[in-house]
Amino acid sequence: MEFDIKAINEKIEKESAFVERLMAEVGKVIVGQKYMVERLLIGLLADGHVLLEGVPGLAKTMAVKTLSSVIKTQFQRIQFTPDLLPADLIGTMIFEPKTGKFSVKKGPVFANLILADEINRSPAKVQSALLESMQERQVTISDETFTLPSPFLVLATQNPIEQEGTYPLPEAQVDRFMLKLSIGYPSRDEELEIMRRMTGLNIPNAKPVVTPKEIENAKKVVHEVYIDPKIENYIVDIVFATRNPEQFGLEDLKDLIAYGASPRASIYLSMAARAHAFLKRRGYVTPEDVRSIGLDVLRHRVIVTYEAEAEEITAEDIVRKVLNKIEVP
Amino acid sequence: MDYYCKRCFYSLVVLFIFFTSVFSQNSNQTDSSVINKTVSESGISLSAQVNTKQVPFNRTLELLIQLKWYGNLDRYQVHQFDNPILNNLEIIANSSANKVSNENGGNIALQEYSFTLQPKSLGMSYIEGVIIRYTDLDTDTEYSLTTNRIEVKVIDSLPEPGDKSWMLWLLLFVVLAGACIVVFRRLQQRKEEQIRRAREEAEKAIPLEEKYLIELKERVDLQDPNLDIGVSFSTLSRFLRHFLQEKFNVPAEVNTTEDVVSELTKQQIEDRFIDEIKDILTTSDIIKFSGSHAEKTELVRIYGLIESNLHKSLRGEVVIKNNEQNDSKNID
Repeated sequence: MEFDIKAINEKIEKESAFVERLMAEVGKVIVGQKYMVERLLIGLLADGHVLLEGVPGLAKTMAVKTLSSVIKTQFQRIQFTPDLLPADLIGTMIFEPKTGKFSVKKGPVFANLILADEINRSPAKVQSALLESMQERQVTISDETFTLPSPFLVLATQNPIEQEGTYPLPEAQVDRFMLKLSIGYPSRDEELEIMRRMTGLNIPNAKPVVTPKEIENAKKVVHEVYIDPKIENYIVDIVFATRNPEQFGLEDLKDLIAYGASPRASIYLSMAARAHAFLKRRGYVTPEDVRSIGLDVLRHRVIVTYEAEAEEITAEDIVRKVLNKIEVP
Repeated sequence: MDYYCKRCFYSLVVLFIFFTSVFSQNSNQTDSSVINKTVSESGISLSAQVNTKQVPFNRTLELLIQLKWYGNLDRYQVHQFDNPILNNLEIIANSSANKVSNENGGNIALQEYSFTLQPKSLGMSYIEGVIIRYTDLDTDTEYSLTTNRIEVKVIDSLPEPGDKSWMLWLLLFVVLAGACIVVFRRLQQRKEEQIRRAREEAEKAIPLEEKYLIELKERVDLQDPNLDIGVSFSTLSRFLRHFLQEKFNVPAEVNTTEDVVSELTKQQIEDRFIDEIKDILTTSDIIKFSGSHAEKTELVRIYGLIESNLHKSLRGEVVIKNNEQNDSKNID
């Protein structure tokens, strides 16, 4: 089948115009962290939820807030605490004495962008309630089912160092996040700029510059981005290498991997690579896109063995090794 | 492998023959005996004999001295005689016996003196002649008889029953056989290594670029009317990545175009070469991954670019900036 790359490139050129505006507006508030903002956009465009992990103070929450403020969308921030209940999240039935009837009180989950701050501070039942709505994109209160608005994106944060009093997300639930971002410290120059910007009189604010309609249109174009069978095979090779490393010349990883990535990883890797190509204004996916996003899609999907833990080898190390071993098409 | 097996087989045969000869020597015990006989005019005879010409060092030798005559048994009186004079032998036991028998109706008298002799050391040993004096009582005349000297060879000891020394020999055999195998294996490996090195040297003699230029012509034939242009772009991209990996030691086969360019930039290779490599890889990527139709003119252009860059590299025109700077410093 002949593919009209010119047409898709033109569409991308048109529909990705907002990206520059968005990045510029976010850049007014967030210094550096281009990697994080780009990944948040990929999550938004590819309909995938994002889990951000990093020590406190790295502007995780601020980045999400800023992103929501530049898009004219409904934004809700939910601070996860140990006493949070599922009803606090999805809503509940309220008795109205005036009418003598129960009415639905929708919870904060009914928004376009949800910031689930410190998701691992709440017990499993609350996490499950959120993760279920993430997957089904609908919520059932009493006997009524409500569809969640579109775009619907959950951006969750968690702190990797304070583990006391937390409820770590089970693997099955972590798997529902398309991307898991590991946020690092800013560079020296960035830190200087952050310090100057945040200690001045006028703390910058981001203005809405993108409409949800633009996002929706862009999402449609992302689905049209061409992905060649060679790239599809490359993705499947990467995912299979996490399951059967010995078949790809990675015998040393065999005893380090307890469980490899699921088929959901292949789906998300393909979608995220498309979104990455869109952000690069390309109408087709290259191995570059797969490799760029591969670590973020796979790092939370590879479960390491006790042996790997004893040797202080992380899932990230394993994924890096896989990406560096599989030959690009 | 056949050669190696044959060599091992021959070595084992040689070792087997050697050890067989050693064992056979040890067990060689002759049955032949030596008899010295002297007969007097009066019909009395004296003989001295040993039971073997060769005696193992840890065995004994039997010397038998025999006086024999026909007729009246009391005719002769044999005088007391001394023990035989021995060289490299010693007497460990002796005995004597008188016998009478009947032969063809007449009497035969027989006096026997036997000595058990023990060798003292390896080599030759001798039993000097034995002199026996006797008196013929009929004539009352005294006579004497003498035997000749007897020589006996003392050889290596035989293994004693229950002796485990054969195990030592067997062990020695096994060790020597093992050593032979190891030596031949080493020789074989050395020979193979020499052949491999010679082959590598021969390959090194051809410049890498020249090798790739030959391969380029084999991989993509632009004159082929059935040439698949899309596949050719993939072939050229992979070919170039392989060359870059071998030439500049960058992981080009597993890296993306962007990473390859970044790696080459780190190596401070001249910009023009990097730009052209980027052009080739990016163009190939577009054709390979965008699903768009590829033009033959574009393939010819890319082919030409690869060829020209290989030629440039062969002529040493692709220089590393650091080297250039170092060279200029050296000139200064």
